Amino acid sequence: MAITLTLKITLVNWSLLGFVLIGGFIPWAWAAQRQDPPLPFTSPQQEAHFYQLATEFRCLQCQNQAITDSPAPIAAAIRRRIFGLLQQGWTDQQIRDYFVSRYGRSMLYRPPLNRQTAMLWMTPWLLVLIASSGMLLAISRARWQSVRQ
Amino acid sequence: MTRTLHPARRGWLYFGLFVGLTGTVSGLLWRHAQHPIQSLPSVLIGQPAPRFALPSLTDSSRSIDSRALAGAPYLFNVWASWCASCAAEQPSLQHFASRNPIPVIGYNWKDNRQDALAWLARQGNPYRVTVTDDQGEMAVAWGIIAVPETFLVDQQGRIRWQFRGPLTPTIIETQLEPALRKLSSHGNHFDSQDHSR
Repeated sequence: MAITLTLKITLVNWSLLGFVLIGGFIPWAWAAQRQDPPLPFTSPQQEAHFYQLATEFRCLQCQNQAITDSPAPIAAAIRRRIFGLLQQGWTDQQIRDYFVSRYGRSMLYRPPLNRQTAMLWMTPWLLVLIASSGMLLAISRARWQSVRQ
Repeated sequence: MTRTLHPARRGWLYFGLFVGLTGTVSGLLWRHAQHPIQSLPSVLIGQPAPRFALPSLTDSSRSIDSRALAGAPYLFNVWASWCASCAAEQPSLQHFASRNPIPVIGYNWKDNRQDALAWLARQGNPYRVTVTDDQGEMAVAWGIIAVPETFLVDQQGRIRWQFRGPLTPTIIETQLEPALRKLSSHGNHFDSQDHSR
């Protein structure tokens, strides 16, 4: 009796899971496909070049994702634009400049070093400098104290 | 001779350093949360509005060229029928359109034409004209991040104000209308002619 009930519950659970997967995932996948058809790459080299460049850009809607990983509608439009500009013969730097002129420097994962970004680039080195000098100071003091004893 | 701190004092010093560092990091994170990248003003403020030539939503055989809008300020509003925030901002936008002579141009983004028309019929239509872009590529030229987004373009065709997210009565009163008054005080005049939708 108990086994039959457990079996029934398990069957209900699996059916529910199946319903959620079919009812939720398929329309989502269909919508994603409809929104973002694959880019028509003509060679593996072209595709590699595209991804090398596109991963340099941050998706400003979901900031912890690169343009290449983001499911945001604007990311799909940006990928299409990058592809189009590469097709037109734009250089990587021209494409970076184009997007910076539209979205600002915060779109670049690796912003250029200039007066406004100096603090951003210098802070990690400054922290390493402070930590290593503190460590050196502690070591030399400990050594001096052990010599004195 | 060395100056060594008493262990209890040294403990307090480390505690103070820890609290200071944690406080600084938390403060920076808090500031970032209050001002995410999306809330940064567009870099296109003061720049010429990107040109567009897109089909009209109501008549896909008719192309709307942004050059036809030159000479008078206009409000450029990005929307889509699948965007819940766009439905939320519609009453405010309609109220604005009924009170101000400036034309509101709709930019229907990555949408299905039938869905968009049904949405306008249901929600109301504050737009003088709506252009469609089902692939959504023109949004990149305007530096658009998500829908809804609104731009105020002046008589010279330069972007003067921009807002990311749904317009609210407060945003309209405290930001958009003052920006509009600033334009009219600088000699911009509005085109009150009724363009065909």
